[in-house]
Amino acid sequence: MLEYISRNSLIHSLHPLTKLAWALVVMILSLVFNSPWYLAAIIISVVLVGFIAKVGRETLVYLSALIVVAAFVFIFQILFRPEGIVLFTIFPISWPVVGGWLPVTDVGLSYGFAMSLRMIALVSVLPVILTTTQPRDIVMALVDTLHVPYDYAFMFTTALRFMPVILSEVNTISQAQRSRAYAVEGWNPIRKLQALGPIALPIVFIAIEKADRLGLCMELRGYGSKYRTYLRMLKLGNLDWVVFLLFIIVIILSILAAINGYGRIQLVGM
Amino acid sequence: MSEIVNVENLTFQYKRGLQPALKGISFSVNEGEFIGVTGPAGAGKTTLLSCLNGIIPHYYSGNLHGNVIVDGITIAQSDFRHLANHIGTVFEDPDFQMVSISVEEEVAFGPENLGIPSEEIEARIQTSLEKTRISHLRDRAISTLSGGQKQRVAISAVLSMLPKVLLLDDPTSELDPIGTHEVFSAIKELNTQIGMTIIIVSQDIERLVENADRIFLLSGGELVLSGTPRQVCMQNEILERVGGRTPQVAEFAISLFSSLGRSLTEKQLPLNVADASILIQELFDEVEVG
Amino acid sequence: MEPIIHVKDLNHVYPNGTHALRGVSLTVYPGEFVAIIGQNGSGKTTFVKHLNGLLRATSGEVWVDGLNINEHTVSEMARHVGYCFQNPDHQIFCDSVEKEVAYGPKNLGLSDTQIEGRIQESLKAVGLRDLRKVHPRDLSKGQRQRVAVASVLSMHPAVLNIDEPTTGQDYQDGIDMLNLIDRLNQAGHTILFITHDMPMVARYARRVVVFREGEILLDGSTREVFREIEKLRSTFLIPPQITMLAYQHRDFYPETILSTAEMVDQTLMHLNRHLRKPW
Repeated sequence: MLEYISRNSLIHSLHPLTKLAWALVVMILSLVFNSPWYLAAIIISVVLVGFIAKVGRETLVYLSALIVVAAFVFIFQILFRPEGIVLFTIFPISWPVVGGWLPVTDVGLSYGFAMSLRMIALVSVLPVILTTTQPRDIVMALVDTLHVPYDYAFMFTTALRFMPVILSEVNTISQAQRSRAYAVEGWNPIRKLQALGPIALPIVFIAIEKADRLGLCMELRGYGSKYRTYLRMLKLGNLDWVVFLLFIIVIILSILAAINGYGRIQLVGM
Repeated sequence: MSEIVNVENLTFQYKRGLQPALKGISFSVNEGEFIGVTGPAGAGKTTLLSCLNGIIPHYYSGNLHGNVIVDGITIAQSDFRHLANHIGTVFEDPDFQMVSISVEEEVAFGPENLGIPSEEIEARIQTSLEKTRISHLRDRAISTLSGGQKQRVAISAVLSMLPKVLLLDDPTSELDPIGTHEVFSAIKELNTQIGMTIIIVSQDIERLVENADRIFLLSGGELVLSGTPRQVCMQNEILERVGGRTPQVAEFAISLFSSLGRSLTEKQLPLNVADASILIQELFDEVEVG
Repeated sequence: MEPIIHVKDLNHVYPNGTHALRGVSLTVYPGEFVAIIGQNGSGKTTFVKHLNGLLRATSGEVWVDGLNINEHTVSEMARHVGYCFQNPDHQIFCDSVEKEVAYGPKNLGLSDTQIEGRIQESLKAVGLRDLRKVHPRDLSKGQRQRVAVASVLSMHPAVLNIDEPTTGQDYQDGIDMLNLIDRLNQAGHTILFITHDMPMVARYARRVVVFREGEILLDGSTREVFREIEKLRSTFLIPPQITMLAYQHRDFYPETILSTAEMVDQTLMHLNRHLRKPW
């Protein structure tokens, strides 16, 4: 799914730290601004970077999958923000008993757009970074430069590496149980929980056993020693420094703008 | 040829074991030898390998007696993580013994862990991949490889730590015939081309007999037989009694000669189809058809 | 006799474009003992997974036990076709052998009395009657494999598909497993077993179907198929040593040889027939 895709682009040649810094900048901007227009602009800028990285299509595919989640956020905000001018209500006033319930207000709509866009903006950097950076380079950047303990960084890449294997095992387990007339029908949540057993238990056992074996193999090849080197030690290049400078400028400008009221809308009536 | 592995009176009982898994095992292996270890399930083959590479006692504890010395190092007393510089291990499961996404990363993993400088890691990767003839797979994702290719990556990943002895615990039992052939060829080549000492556990007696200098038969924690493939296969009664077996052609020859009331010499015992073919031809020539 | 498995022009194309099965046709009659062999990727496993609906055809017909697979779910087919996976740990999840064996029948909606009957029967068939209360994780791998077989048997399928019964197994456990499968065949089950273990095929299978690159290369009795040495070699399947040996001297051994006992008998016969002097 979100795997490294080898392409020849500017973004691919940037140091992982630069890309991680970019994620931070996007996060800061998304939190500083809450105007739906500004947030939308941030998302568009991320997509543009995706296209510069020649992974534009993949980025859009991933973002479109996020729309469902964004819709949930949107609805959630509308339902729980009844302040402001009521524009219409979900249940028509003419209805008995529930008439006039669940008002949709201008404040609610603004919050809805803002929060859902913000969610997308925050997550949008993920596909671009993961498709343009090899996990081991991220590990190297985190451990060597930021001094994150190797174990934590390693956990992240190992999870990525084993996801497909575990999913494949789950698929086999599912096939095996279906062959024994295992079926998950209906909407009953209790039945659905019970139905997890035949799938979850085997995979948990298998995963624990294999994890133990894997840990052993790792230690047999020296894992856990204090000092570790990397086959590829990437260094920050000129382009990286230029980009860092750019980030600093953008952040300063953004904070200045926000203080002066740009990109911020009144959400709570004052 | 100097001795590279020396095991003296090795006895081991797992903490929760009801009886010893290994009972007074003694043997030695010379540098450059190809040793095949066989026997039924539960005989102690994996336990024996674990005592050679340090898993016992560093990872699994229990009651350990006797001496295990590999490449001059007393296993029980040495730093576990550096043992791979002397003796490397390849396991049965092609999927769960490797951690990396790409072949290159996997082969780099060991040296990286030990703080080897980048340039040297690069050199080691190149040589390790060449030795198993998978240089062309360097940039591939491990998940896209066949079983035989995966096991050769596992071997390379162990070789990059420059061990003198290579242990393999049933590396082909999960593979199809092509994969099994690829792996055994690679191992044999390591042995003949660079003199790597090989100790391989397998029940594929046909391949062991074809490749090994000596075969050890384990049963119930004891070293029941040890000798050249011919010597061991001549003892077919013992083999069968403990749940092992001889290659089909050997079984055939022994049974045939027994029915003929003739004695089969060790030199005559066929270990492969070619040998057996010659033997049959000799028999037929003796009676002269027509 | 009506066939119990009838496959016509089966094609299967995976989502990633791999054309795994190319117009495969096969007919199996009740009570047959068939080995399905081929290299990894030849399509043998893909084929067998169509028989209980785990995979659906891109085109072609699959009829099992009188039912058109397309009209039934995998769960519905479980009553007719049992599939034993290679690794029993992919199936086992209960804390006792008897619960494990009861799981299938329970899913089929059988009564408690019926289920009890099935448990006893299946455990007896696999020789694990005394271990019914034991936790499966406390059993050896060979025993767990038999628990898996019992838990499929308890649904009384007419057809049993067994995936690689000897791969990754101890040699003796493999023999025990195949002896069990043989007994089940004698008891009336139709057996298909997927393998690349040629000596086992020679010893147990009565019919052999060879897959290569999504097609059936050979289909016949074990002796017929093992005679086709060159074709088998073309897909890297090597017959057992004894078969190869007899083939090399086929002037003296006109019949395909499948076991050392046969080889000894034939050799003795031949030597005695052309005696100049008696032994």
